[in-house]
Formats: sequence, structure tokens, C-alpha cells
Amino acid sequence: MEDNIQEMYERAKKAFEEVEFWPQEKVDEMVQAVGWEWQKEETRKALAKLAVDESGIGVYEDKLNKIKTKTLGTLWDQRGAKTCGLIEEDKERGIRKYAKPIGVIANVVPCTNPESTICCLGLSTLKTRNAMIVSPHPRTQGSSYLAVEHGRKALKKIGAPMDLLQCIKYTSHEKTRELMSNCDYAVATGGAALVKVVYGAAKPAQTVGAGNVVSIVDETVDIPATAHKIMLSKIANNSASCSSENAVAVYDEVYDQMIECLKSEGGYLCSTEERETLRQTMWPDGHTLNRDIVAKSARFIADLAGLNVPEDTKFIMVLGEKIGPEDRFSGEKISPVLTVWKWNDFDEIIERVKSMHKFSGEGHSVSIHTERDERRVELAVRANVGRVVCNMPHSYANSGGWGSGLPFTDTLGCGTWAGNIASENVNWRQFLNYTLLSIPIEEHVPDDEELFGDYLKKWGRD
Amino acid sequence: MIRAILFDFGQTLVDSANGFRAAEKEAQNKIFSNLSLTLWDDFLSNYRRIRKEFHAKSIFSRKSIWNEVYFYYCLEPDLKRLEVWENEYWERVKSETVPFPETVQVLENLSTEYRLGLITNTQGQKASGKHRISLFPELERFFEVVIVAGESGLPPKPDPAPFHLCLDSLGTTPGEAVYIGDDWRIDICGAKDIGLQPIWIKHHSVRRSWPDIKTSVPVITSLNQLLDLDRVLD
Repeated sequence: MEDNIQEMYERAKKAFEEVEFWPQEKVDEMVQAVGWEWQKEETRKALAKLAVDESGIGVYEDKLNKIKTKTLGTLWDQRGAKTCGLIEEDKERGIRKYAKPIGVIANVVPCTNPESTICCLGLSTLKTRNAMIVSPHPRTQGSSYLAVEHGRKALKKIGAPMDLLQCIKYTSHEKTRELMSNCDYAVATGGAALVKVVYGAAKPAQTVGAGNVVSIVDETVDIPATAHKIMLSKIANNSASCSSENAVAVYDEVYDQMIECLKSEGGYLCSTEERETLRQTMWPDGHTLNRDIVAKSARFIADLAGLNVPEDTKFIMVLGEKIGPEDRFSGEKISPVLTVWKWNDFDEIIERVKSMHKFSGEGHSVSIHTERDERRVELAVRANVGRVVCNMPHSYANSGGWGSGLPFTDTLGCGTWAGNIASENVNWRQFLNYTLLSIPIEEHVPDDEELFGDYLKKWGRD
Repeated sequence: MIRAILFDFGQTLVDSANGFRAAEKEAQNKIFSNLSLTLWDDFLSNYRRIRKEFHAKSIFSRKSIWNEVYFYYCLEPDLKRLEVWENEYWERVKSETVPFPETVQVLENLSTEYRLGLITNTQGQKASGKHRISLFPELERFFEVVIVAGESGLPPKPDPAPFHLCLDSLGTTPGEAVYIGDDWRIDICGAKDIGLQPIWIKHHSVRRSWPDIKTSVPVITSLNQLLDLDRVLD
């Protein structure tokens, strides 16, 4: 494949036109073919190895599992979903709803998940009869390209047009811009800087926001079990996921126990001096997160900072001090570094979490470990986030998991809070247009009573 | 019969190697610091790889190269700041660019016998709005034609267009001219591709590593050797 963007678009368009009116059964077979190829062990091994080798980001074993979970989960979410032709009929209103594809979709993929993002979005765009052109991150262009090649191989096997899936082989800033300008729709998984670039291309687009998940822990849960869940989530793929906990906020009465449990799970709590040393390594200029520590192991980061931590350290903890730019530990860290806060008033901790999100991660997600459902509800009602995950390892649940009902994805919409058009987990639902076919129904013009009844009774007609 | 001699500019008539080295080092330090990184060797290896990729495409604009470095590290640069740095970069190169000791004398002698032309690639300089040759009127005066490729719609060398434009402007054919340059891909291959006899100058005073290529193209190490052109071409 050459990297002539215009030519790639033309090929994608041609492939799209071939499947534009395919029936559901044929589309579902195509999706299964590609999903089967991506979930194969040999495929996953090749993708995970290449991704780690070329970028030095993440953990091979975690990637291996993630590619499988995301691929199978995306297929599971799609099962039985109607995405072709007539999908709904409302006889009373005389409306029939037809699902239509969009066309050629640009998919800007991050270096933190260069393969699984393609699996999730590739299956979603195919399910909706769209073509996809991937713009990989320069750090992981080999693994993204390979993921697409596997998808193309599966398309070929069943006689579907291979150019429904394409990938830029040698990416650049310029090519990414050109791709987004050429395509009919874009989906970009990356931070605020990318959102700006994507919307700059003046095409409809799905984007995401930064994560800064705070996990609130109260006195009603089993503390050792909760510490274990947080550890699992925190160290997964070296915290490459935006769903990884960035902070834990623990109720006063169980605070000491929680700290001890987190230490038993491999957490190392920095002293005040060590915290400052770590801060200087993580934000050398005081405000920009050091890209050299992103999704690296706790040991790597500790060595870089010159911290003397035990061999078996899995994550590093620092105490929360201030919120906002004056203390970067209150924001997103994309690394196995966890900020620890203490609280004794639930109402106050919600406000504190909201302040943290104003600084970093608004619209993304929050986690709570409690047995009191009213606290879950209170948090869901008040926090400006797309997801509230309860009593689960956050990064294993937030973007889909077998023990969570949230849709599988690697692309988490963060709503208008983060400048996105959606606050949902992006999947096949976001890649359809709809045509409503309307036939005449018996005319009914509502009277005042029907429209204003309750109001008029209470406030009168003047 | 040779009627015209065409030259490249940098490392062919002037020595900018020290200037480039210093300017690059300054730029790398600024970008490394602005990217807020800690692994210098890792950064340098990525920076050099990206620069090499751009040079291979004959893109010499520092702003474009640096923009790509920021893209690699997932950061949006302040483009105005990059422009300032680019201006500083070229100022630094200029300030440390000097003609080779023999350049003026050789051009003076050759100009009595041959028509002289210059084909140089723009390097994206924004500060002066002019190519570096304009800073050396003592050299510029010998050239009947000066082609700055890579701007105003003219593609950069090794594209044949700037070579053809220079020859046409001098009213000569490729067979009646020779071309002297230091860059294997841009100068030597570019000239060869249009049937123009190249001469590869690896000037003895330029501190750089030359590509290890076995070639039948004549190689010189001083401009003085051009004074006996027949011997060079032999």
C-alpha cells in the first residue's frame, strides 16, 4: 500500500460503494471474519510484541489480553444489532427508520493502544458498512499497520473488498491532516491537542478527552479486596489506558488500613522529598508531562527519578496536596503513579473530585467503591463525567468488561465537557446515518389542555 | 565541449558545516527542553531519524521537521515559537558560513572561460527572504544565473526541473555543462538523471562523514582542481 492519501481515499470509497447496500447477514459474516482473525492467538502475539518493541510502551501480556477482550467484547455488543436497511418501525407515527453508512472514516490511533483501538473501531465501522483508513501514531505505525493487514487478509478470505480497511504505512503530521480533510468522518483517540487538530479539519468527528479517574473508597467495602482491585487496574498495561486510576480518595476511618493494603499490593509511598524528586522527573518544565515516562513501569520511573524503591514495586504513591496546575499530581499522569487523598465528608469529596476534573479529565470517568447505592447515585448526578464505575477495577470495566455492562471500546467520548460531541463509549452506534421514511397519519392537533394542563391548573391562563 | 559550469552552494562554494552543527545543537536543546523530556539519547535518535526522513524528501524547512518531532511526542507546538527558532537557526548558520579560501579566485578564473550558473535548494529560510548566496556579493557577481529551487513552485533538487531551468537560462544543453555539488543524492544523482556530468566535491576542509559510495563520478577535494577541468573529467 502506498501512502498517497487521495488515492487511498478513492480506493476506500470504491470499497465502500461495493458494500453500501449489503444485507445484514453478509455484513455480520464480514465482521465475524475480521474479528476471528484479530482474536487469534498468533495474531495477538504478533501485534502485542511489535507494539511493545517499537514503542517501549505498555506490557506485552496485558496487550495480548486486551486485544482479545476488546475484539470479542465489541463483537458481543454488536450481536443481533440491526445496522442495515430498515431497523425500526413505528406504525402509530407512520415512521420507518433506515440505517445508512457514512462513507470513509479516518481513524487516528494513539501509541498507547495502537492495535486494540483498530480492533474496536474496525469492527464497528465494518458493522455499519463503512470504510476505515487508519492514521497510526509514528511511534507505533508498524503494529497499527500490521493490525490492518490482518483485517484485510480476513476480508480477502471471504471475498469482501480489502480496501474497507487501510492504514497509512509511514505516517506524518501532514498526512494525518490530509487524511482528516479528505475523509467523510473522523474518529480520533487522543488528548486535547488532537481534538483541536481534528476539529480543525472541519469534518464531523468523534473525539475523546483526557482521563483523570479518581477512585473514591468509603468505609462500607472490604478494604483489602478494594486495594487489590485498584492495584490490578492501576498497573494494567503500565497505566497506558485513560481509564486507569490517577488518584484514590479514601475515607478517613479506613485511610490507614487502605494505605497499608495498597503497600501490600506493591504500592510504594513516597516521602515528601521523594515526591518532589518524582515531580521534577515527571514534569521537568513544571507543566508538561514527560513523554519518557508515559506507560513505563514503576521501576523504570523510579530509576529515572533516582528513587530507591523495592524490587517488587508495582506502582508509586504520592500524597495529594493541592488541586490544579500548582500540583500536577492532581491531574492525569498516564503512568503507574497514584495520588492518594483523604476525605471525611462525602459531599466535600464530590466537590473536590469535581475541582480535580475541572483541572484535568472533565467528562471522562470516576470510580467509587461503596456498598451505599445512594452515594453512587449522588456521584453520578453531580460529577460531570460520562461514566461512574462502581466496585470494579476501573480500567477493566470502564471501556467494557465481562463483568461490566458498559460497551466495549477504546474510544471514550467525554461530552461537551471535553469538547467532544458524545459522552458515550464510541462503538458502532456512532457510525450510522438514519433516514426516516414518513407516511401520512391521522392528523391530530393537541389542544391547550393536553399541552399545558398541569401548568394552567396551577398558574392560571393570564 | 564544456561551455558552462554549474555549482551547488553549501559545502561546495562555502563551508557552513560548523554553522549547521552549532545551529542544530542549539535547536535540539531548545526542543528537548520544551518537550519536557529526560532521555536525551532517545530524543536525539528520534530527532535525527525524523530529520533524515525529511531531508530524504528534500524538505529542509526546520519548522516542518520540528513540527514532526512534536507530533511524535504527542504535543502541539507553538508555531510562532518555532518560527522564531527557525530564524535564529538560520542566523546562526549564516554567521558561521565562510567561502572556502580558494573560492573567489577559482570562480574568477573559471568565469573568463566558462559561463557560470548556481543551483541551490532553499532551506526554508524565512528571516532574510533571500537565499544565503545574497550575503556573498563577492561570489554572486560571477553567476549569470542563480536558481533557488524549492520555492515559487519550482521543486527542489534532485528534481530535474531546476537543472533544466538553469541550463535553459544559460542557453546550453546537458552535454555542454558540468555540475559540481557535495550531496550524493541531491546533487550527483540529480545531475546524472538529466545527463548532466556531475563532479562530486568532498572538500578537504569540511568536517562531515561522506556516504561510502563506489562511483565512477569524478571526485575533487578542492575547487582549485577545477582549473584543470579536462584532467578532472579524465
